[in-house]
Amino acid sequence: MLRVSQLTAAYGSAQVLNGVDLELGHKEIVALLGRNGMGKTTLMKSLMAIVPVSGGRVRLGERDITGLRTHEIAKSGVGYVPQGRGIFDKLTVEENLRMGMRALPNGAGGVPEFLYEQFPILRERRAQVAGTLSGGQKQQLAISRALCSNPKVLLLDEPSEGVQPNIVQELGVFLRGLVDRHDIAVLIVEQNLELVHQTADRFDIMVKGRIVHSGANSELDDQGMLQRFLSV
Amino acid sequence: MESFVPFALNALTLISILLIVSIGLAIIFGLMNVINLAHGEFITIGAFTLVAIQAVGGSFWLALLAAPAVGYAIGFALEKTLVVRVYRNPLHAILVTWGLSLIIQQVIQLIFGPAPQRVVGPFPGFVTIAGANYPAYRLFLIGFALSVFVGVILLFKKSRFGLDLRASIQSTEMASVMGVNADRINAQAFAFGAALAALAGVLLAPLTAVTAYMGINYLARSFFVVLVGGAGSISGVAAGSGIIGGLETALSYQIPATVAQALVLILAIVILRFRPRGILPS
Repeated sequence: MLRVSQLTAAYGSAQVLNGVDLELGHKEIVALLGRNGMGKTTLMKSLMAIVPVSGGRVRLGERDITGLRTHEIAKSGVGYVPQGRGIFDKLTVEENLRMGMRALPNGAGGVPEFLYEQFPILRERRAQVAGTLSGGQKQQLAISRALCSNPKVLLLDEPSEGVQPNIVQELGVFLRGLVDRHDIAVLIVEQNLELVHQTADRFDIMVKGRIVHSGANSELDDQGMLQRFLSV
Repeated sequence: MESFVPFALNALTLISILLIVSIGLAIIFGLMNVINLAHGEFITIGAFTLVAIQAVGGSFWLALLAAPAVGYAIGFALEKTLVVRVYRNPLHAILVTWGLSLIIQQVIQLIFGPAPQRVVGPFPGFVTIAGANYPAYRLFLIGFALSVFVGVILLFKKSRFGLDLRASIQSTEMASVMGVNADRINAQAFAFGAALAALAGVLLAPLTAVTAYMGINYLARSFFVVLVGGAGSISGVAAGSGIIGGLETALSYQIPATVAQALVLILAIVILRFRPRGILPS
């Protein structure tokens, strides 16, 4: 679904991505692991062209989306939930969801019913200003908003951050159900290995702007491997 | 009572003009963090649209329709060619829009000459309110400008353009992640602000000396409206216009108008000293 090859990006003179190769299959959830500062968030931002890409290619399905601008990438079918969620705090819940539909071909539509079923709080509070939601509710809103445009690929940056454990658990179940029932692939940056265990099909580990290790989920029990790549 | 009614109406005249001029400035400032020093010139462009249309026999009403369109077109073209290049650097933005303002003034003066132009308002008569005679045109101006303001609020709250704009003011980056073309929304917002200022120019023209420099006066005031009220919020623009317009009108009853203007600006600075983000920040 998503194929990234030899992607490089830099902040000024500091090269942060040093040739990332990554593949995200159809209906697959891949976790991106790594210590802080290894370039995981930068990778997501450069996939969205928020951080400019200096080299390499990104393909979405059959389409080469390298060099497209952020709103064009959104319209080509990539949903993105940044770290900190990127909720429009002063807009209502419903307005946030309507913004999520801008990437649809005609820019508007209805909120998919399964989102309201999954997160009924969003329907209850739709007229409320989004800034008043709790961390977990904001995360639900952010993910729902990203799914309103029916994307082919969903990028999630640390969805468990600042969210209470039982909601994280629910989120994991939701993501599993999402790929089972919809045509979507998910790339998830996550520190919470439990959530990774619960949701991902496999994982990639990033060190200094490169993928250095890929493994199946079962490998997450390998303490030696975790020690080597993830411990600080 | 007899003197209060004209005072209140005079204050409302200035406040309602400030409202529609300042909204454009507030949007541009809120969205792009750019201080558009050429904003006043769009008032002038609006007034001279009226001058040009009346010179060829057209009516005030035609100008009221045409001026926003002219303001929008010129604003859009300038944004696309010039302003878009300087968003990232506020100092460049100040210099470029200031230069733009000087150029527009001189071009208008070259075309129309330095002498004040005469325009004719649509209602010559007076209306008696609570024993006081008041020019009918000013009543129309207040009603019309306030309706425009309400219309703009509805546009912001209800339309897709308004939603995109409010989202982009909060975070341009997240709005583009949603699929909003940031360049397009910036150009539209700039042009929309210019159109409103041009509309204000037509409304003002029958009350004032129409010269190439008439916009300068309103730039400083509306700039302070935005700062005092709080950048990027409509309620802030309303509060700021009320304070600046109300005070200036009240003071100019007692002291010369220019001194009154200066005093209001000093007061604005004092307010900003204690509330640096404005009275009602967004």
